[in-house]
Amino acid sequence: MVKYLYIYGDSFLHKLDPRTKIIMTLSLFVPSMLLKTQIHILVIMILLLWFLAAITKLTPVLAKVRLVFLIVSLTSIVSWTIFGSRNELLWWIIYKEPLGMGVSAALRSILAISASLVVLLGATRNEEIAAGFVKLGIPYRGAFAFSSALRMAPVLIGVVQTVIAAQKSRGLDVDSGSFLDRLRKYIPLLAPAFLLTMRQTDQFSQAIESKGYGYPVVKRSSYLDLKLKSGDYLWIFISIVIIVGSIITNAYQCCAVFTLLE
Amino acid sequence: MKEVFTMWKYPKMVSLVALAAALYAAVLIPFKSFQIMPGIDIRIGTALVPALGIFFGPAGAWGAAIGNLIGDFFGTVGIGSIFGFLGNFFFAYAAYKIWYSGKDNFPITNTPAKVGKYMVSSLFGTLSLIAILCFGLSAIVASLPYKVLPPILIFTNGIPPLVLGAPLISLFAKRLDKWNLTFNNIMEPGDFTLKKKTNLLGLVFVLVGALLSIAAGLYMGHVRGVDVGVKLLASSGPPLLLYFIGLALMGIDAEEFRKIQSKEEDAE
Repeated sequence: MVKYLYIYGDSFLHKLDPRTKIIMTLSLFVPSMLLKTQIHILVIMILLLWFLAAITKLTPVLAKVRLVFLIVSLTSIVSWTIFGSRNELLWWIIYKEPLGMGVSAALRSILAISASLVVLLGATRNEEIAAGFVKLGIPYRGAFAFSSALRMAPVLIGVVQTVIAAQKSRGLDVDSGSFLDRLRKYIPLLAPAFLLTMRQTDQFSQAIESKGYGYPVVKRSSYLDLKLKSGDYLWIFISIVIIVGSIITNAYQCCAVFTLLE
Repeated sequence: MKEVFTMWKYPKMVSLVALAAALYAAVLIPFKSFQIMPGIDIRIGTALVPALGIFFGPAGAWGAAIGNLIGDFFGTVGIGSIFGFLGNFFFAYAAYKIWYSGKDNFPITNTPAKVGKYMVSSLFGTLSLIAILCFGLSAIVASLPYKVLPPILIFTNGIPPLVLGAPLISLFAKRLDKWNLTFNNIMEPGDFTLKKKTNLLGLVFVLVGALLSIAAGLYMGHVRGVDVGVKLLASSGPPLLLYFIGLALMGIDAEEFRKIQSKEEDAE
């Protein structure tokens, strides 16, 4: 189970401003949404991203989710091949359009996941992500709740695992019985996890109030002082090129290898 | 829908957002392995989502949305995560709106009528999730054909809250009320859109909007053979507007707050 994705390092990706990395990630989401028929462009982008991961020593973060890549690819290809609209028969039950959509959906998912893991999550600490969101205009309170939850989630996963181990040691067997019986056996697992978490609410709200959370502050100061450098501007420019290029490629259907059945 | 924004001024509500999100993410990740068939697993964590909405109102909805995003952060974040965020937000928010749109709203499931009310709230929440997620994943992102998703989502995200939600609410209700952690113990009536005469109309709009969106997507896929593109967008998108109008037409009963306040006065 993956609990932490950040990898310590001093590569150029680690040193970039979190705002730049958020923009880069979002810019890579654009081709993953728009380039449905340009399979070879997607492959090139994925390979470039993986090369970036290799030179910044972030490949372990991709290795952690290799099973996800496999499942996403299989699900996409099988679902589209069986259920997708079809026109041109290639062989047996394989049609060109659904197969193309399946491969494209798999590649687009791999591109988006790789982008978020390599550019953002593997090379950016949680507090930097939150600070980046605030600087990009996300309201402070929302960003605070998000970063607090992000920090607490791995701790709570530990709590949930302890609850599971404790209940199993008392004889709870979630693997036997009918479907509904098995499902109902999760109540003794969910209930303690829920109450153990919610019991912390008062302490947590008192802690944030004691740090001046309730006061209407015009401008908040932050321990992290974010400043864009020349390298950041270069990567933001590259991100804009990726976005504009994807929109143009999609609009004119350049380099398409199959036709969308619309 | 103003409570979605006014809640952020209460530190306790912000704490509930963070804790609900962390809990949802923490439950989603270890319980991902309950398989009903190879490759398709039941998301046990979704059992918590309607309960989060019913107990914590808007904080529960934000918590479910952020929690799902954080769950995605542990390996599967992508463009679809945006729709996962929105879908889970309205999964909890619709359950909260439906639960509090009528009378006798104390969040407990100790009578058959209350269990029935919970089932209806949970079903509305699930429908919201399916309509929004299928629209996003198929019509916009084109990750999977539309016709594949609704049947899978009914199993993976619809069954756990129906089976587990009512017992969980029954277990937690009195304790959370005693700890003053339900949203109507924390927020003021003025923070909400209060009950209107349009509640029933809103309910109908929500139901019809979500069902029409799903039906249109399924029709386009099964009958017209359209799995992606503008036609799918144009058929399953507009009914969602009806759904959102429906939610906006619904308000919460001010009596709920009066009961809480009189309870506090009695305690004093």
